[in-house]
Amino acid sequence: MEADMRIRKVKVLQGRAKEEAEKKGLKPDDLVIVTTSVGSLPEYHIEKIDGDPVSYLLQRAKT
Amino acid sequence: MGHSSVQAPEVILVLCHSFFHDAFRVQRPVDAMKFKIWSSSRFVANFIIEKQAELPESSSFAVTSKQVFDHFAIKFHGDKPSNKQRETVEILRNSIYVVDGPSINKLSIDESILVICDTLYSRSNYEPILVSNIPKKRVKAEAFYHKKSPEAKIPYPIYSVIESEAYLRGKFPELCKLVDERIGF
Repeated sequence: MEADMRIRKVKVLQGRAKEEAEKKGLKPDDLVIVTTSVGSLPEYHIEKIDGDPVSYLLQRAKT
Repeated sequence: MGHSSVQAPEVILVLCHSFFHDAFRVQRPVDAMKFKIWSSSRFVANFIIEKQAELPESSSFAVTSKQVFDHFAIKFHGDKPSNKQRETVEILRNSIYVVDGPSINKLSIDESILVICDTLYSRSNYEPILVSNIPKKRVKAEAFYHKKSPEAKIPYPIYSVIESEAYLRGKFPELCKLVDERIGF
């Protein structure tokens, strides 16, 4: 199963990705990493970015 | 005859390898000038991600060549990347348009960037800005154009990251405010 990962702003999300973000109570200007896994149906995983994205990504790469 | 409208060219940042080296340096430099370059590089990188995050996926605010990006990726994660390191590089690749084509890929790192700038400049819908922390890049760009004609001048701006930060702050004040808030300024 292939996955696409990209940083998006909550306010530009659509469909089920938007629903996932809303379930998490995120704000329109929040930045998130959207992971889209394409199986029989696309699945969306939403990860909120805390702080600035560069620091977040560098910290994330260490874990 | 239909109505035609002329759109202002879109600004697009063309990133050279020095930008990546400085923006994704893990440790803060101690030296004052190096710190300023690091800080501005971080700001510009955060701005690119912020801007790209609200653009349609088919549009790009920043571009680089495959050679530059691959060079950065290898320096970032080495030969044996962890899953998280690989993901980080993939996420960044999706925030920056990486030109990957046979005619560009065979060029040197410097030439690939200059050809991308020239191609974008030649299309009337783009206004490229070459972002580089290496002063010699201007000399290389001049030599690139002198090969075409001795009178040819570099037709687009070449900004250091410090100049790029100032430019972005003037052109996109609201988005820069959001970037500052996230950084914690």
